[in-house]
Amino acid sequence: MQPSRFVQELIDIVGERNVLWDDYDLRLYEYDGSVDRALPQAVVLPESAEQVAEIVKLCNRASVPYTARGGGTGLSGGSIPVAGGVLITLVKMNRVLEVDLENLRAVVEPGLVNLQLSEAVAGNGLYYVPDPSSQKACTIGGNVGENSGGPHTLLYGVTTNHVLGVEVVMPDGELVEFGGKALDLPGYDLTGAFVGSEGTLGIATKITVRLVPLPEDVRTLLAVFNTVDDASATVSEVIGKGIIPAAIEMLDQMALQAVEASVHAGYPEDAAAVLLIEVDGLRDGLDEQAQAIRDIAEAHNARSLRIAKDAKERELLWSGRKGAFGAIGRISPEYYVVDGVVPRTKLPEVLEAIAEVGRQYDLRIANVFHAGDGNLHPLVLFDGAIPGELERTKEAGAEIMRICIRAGGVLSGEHGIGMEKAELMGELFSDHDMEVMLKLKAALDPEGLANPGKIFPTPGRCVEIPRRPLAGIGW
Amino acid sequence: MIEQVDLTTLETELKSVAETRKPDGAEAEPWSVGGVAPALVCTPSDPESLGEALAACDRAGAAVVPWGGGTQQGLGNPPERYDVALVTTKLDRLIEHEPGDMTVTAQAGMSLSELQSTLRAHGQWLPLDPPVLPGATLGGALATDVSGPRRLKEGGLRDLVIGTRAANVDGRVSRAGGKVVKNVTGYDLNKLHVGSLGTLGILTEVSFKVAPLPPADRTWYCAFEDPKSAGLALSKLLWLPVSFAALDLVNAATAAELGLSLEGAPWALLARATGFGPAVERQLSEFRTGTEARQGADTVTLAEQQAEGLWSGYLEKAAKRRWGEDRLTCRMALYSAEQGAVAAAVAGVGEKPHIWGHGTGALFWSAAVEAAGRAEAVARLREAAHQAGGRLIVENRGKGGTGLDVWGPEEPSYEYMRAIKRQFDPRGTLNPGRFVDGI
Ligand SMILES: Cc1cc2nc3c(=O)[nH]c(=O)nc-3n(C[C@H](O)[C@H](O)[C@H](O)COP(=O)(O)OP(=O)(O)OC[C@H]3O[C@@H](n4cnc5c(N)ncnc54)[C@H](O)[C@@H]3O)c2cc1C
Repeated sequence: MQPSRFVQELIDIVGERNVLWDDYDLRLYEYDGSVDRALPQAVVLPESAEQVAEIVKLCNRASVPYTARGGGTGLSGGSIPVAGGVLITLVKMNRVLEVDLENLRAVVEPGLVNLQLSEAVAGNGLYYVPDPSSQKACTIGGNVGENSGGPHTLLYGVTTNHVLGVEVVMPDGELVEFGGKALDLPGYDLTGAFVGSEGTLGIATKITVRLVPLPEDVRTLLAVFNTVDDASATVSEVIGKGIIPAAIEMLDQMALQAVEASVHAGYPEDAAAVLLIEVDGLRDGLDEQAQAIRDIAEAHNARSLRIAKDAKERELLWSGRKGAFGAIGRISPEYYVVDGVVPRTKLPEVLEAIAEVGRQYDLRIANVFHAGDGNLHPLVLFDGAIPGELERTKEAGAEIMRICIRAGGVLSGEHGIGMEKAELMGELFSDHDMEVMLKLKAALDPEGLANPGKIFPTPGRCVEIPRRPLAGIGW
Repeated sequence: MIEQVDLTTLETELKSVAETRKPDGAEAEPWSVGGVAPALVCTPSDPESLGEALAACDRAGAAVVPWGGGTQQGLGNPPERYDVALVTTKLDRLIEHEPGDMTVTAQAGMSLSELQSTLRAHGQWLPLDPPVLPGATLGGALATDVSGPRRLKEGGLRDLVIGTRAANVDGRVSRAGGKVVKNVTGYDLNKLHVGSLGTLGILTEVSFKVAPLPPADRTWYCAFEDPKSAGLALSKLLWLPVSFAALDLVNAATAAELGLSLEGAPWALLARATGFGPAVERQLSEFRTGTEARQGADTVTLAEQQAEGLWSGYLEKAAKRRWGEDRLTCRMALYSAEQGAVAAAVAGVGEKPHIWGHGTGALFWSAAVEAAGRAEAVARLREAAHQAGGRLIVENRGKGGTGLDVWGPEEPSYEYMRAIKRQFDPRGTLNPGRFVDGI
């Protein structure tokens, strides 16, 4: 098969080895970490910002939509090309361009894998804070797209708090820089507006981040509870007492059982919930903080408490949490990760309501989540081979979202809206709220070719996603 | 082409939605910005009528200056046009504070100090210590993106604001963000409002993350002969795994007002540590060794009350220089490690300047300068900031300083800022001409 003229033009920009266009190759790019899929017509792997700009300009000339993709680990379908078109995969732009030790900044390319940044600066006693559990596979560009969090973002903040500047190929094809190494530059905070915009406002080609000194020491506690309420009350009181740990993660019983079946982290399988709490920083005072947390947990009927004695035990305790999603695979063929946030004090009633959804829809739901900031991750277990079960699962997910909204929460804490929740936006925001948000889109992407079909509901979407006319291109 | 504004009709319309006055002469003076006084002052009592008033102005082609406490109206260029001051101070209610959630929501016209005292009663605070004058409102603080020494550890408004409601020029009030501490649901318009100088909409309500008051809070300082060594000590101290609450570089003129004795040394480094007692003590010892290694003098420890007085005095004086007195005050946005060198470079500009900087890389220069010499002073300061990779904003132009280049040269990103402004405020109703690049 001969490449079409459009594909040939892509090849002219990035070279033959960096364009995929036959059906077999394209199939590998039709999904991300979520449950949806859609096929691109071409995949390009640019090696420079200039190439990205040329690709975007080409798409503009031909009126073809394009979608940026990093590691493809997103959980809301952010990098799925819903409207077809070109998938711009940034994994070949994966260099650390600069480490500025004096100013505690790094400048990186978007395709750099999250963990590799921390590894690159560890020798200098530094790290990059946001640590999604997917950090071995997700990219900094994808993190910027989704404003990703992670277990250790409770005290230190999420991606938006650590990204200070971006170089972006704008939808008009121009390369421009927002922000930079210094804080509070004149003008609108377009870096802030760009982070979390899910690839709909342009493509980041360079990212300036904050580096942070590694903690000198750490204390990791595992507190075991017979009721979820006691665990939740412990979370609220620890924070209310002014101790903000680096992380507070919760796993409920079903999650514990799954973890023990695969990872053997030493979690009790018969408990209702465990909390994994970590305090870090300067060595001085850490024991006092750990003790204070211990006292609070005990006052809330913790049935046992364990403080990791050494790095090895700490690793073990964390392996259970970090491997939790994967472990669910042991007890179910598939699972659907729901991401929602509620005010911390609402956790007990919201968790109860989620359990009720499980009963109502006859689906098992496990909870593994960032309890400290009220960021829930109910994992709905299902079997896609059973007709109708995926649909029922998605409905249960939507129901859980409604519970979050009623509790004063929002639709996503860190995975984004993507295509998954676009239709639910109207249940949280008024049409007018969304119109105002879309002014930003209209200002920066008037043609609407940058990752269409994401974040906001598409009118008439229930029938079919309106496809941009791709006719005449001859893919 | 700007059509003539029909103020009589507008006045009637505004009166039908909110308290509206037509100040004249001396009465209008307090509402003037950059020498321009408004024809009307409108003070709505709820967000909806504020929206209606804004829409009425927009329809009439009248230019609006959103007005909070009116304490920082000196920032930015003088408005190109100015017909109506739209005052937010009646929107001053606390909407929600659930201490267990460590979040708070209040109307944008509430004063910052009132919010702080509400939170303090629960052992919490909005972790922001901006030098502002009494009466500064939440909305005004956001629009001007003010922060103080403690931005170093606690973050700035861009990090603390989790939700906003704003009246748009079409009169409707829309919201973005939420009341939870972690959120990726729709575009983060909160970020656009922070530092936008009220050019996109008028904030009516803000939600913040709050923090517990720290159990321990200590302050020290150390004198330096050379600002570069002080700067080096500062950047080295930023390498501690627990951030200092504040690390400020001040010159002798600034230190003298605070009653600090530097024994003739021209510079000092002030440090504040907050948190758990043992960690705070450790930071003291790190400060001592860190400053000694860079030729700092002996570290002086302040008693608790003395420290409190020091910081409040420092902020008060900074607020007056930035927003009150008739003088020239500039803020430089620098890389933290460049601060010492830039401080040294700008010490020679002007007569007896006050120079002070926060550990975040915000460095301030302030002096009384004759109107005729201000442009040259600004140019020299800006040159020093740009040479170090930074930028400079003129915060206080002083009386008669209307011709100064407040925001500095155009940047390529401004094209996109203009595009955003056109979408949010197509007729240029809000604060026309005051922001970067004539926005
Ligand atoms: C097992 C597992 C655990 C996870 N744990 C966490 C967690 O703890 N916390 C968390 O927050 N997330 C988590 N995630 C979700 C996911 O890893 C994050 O959203 C991650 O940031 C996605 O990065 P990516 O490189 O895979 O991006 P992709 O999935 O490829 O893309 C994500 C979005 O970013 C956009 N994008 C990609 N690159 C760019 C760019 N250069 N410029 C502009 N936009 C771009 C895409 O268009 C898309 O909208 C997890 C996922 C999995 C599978």
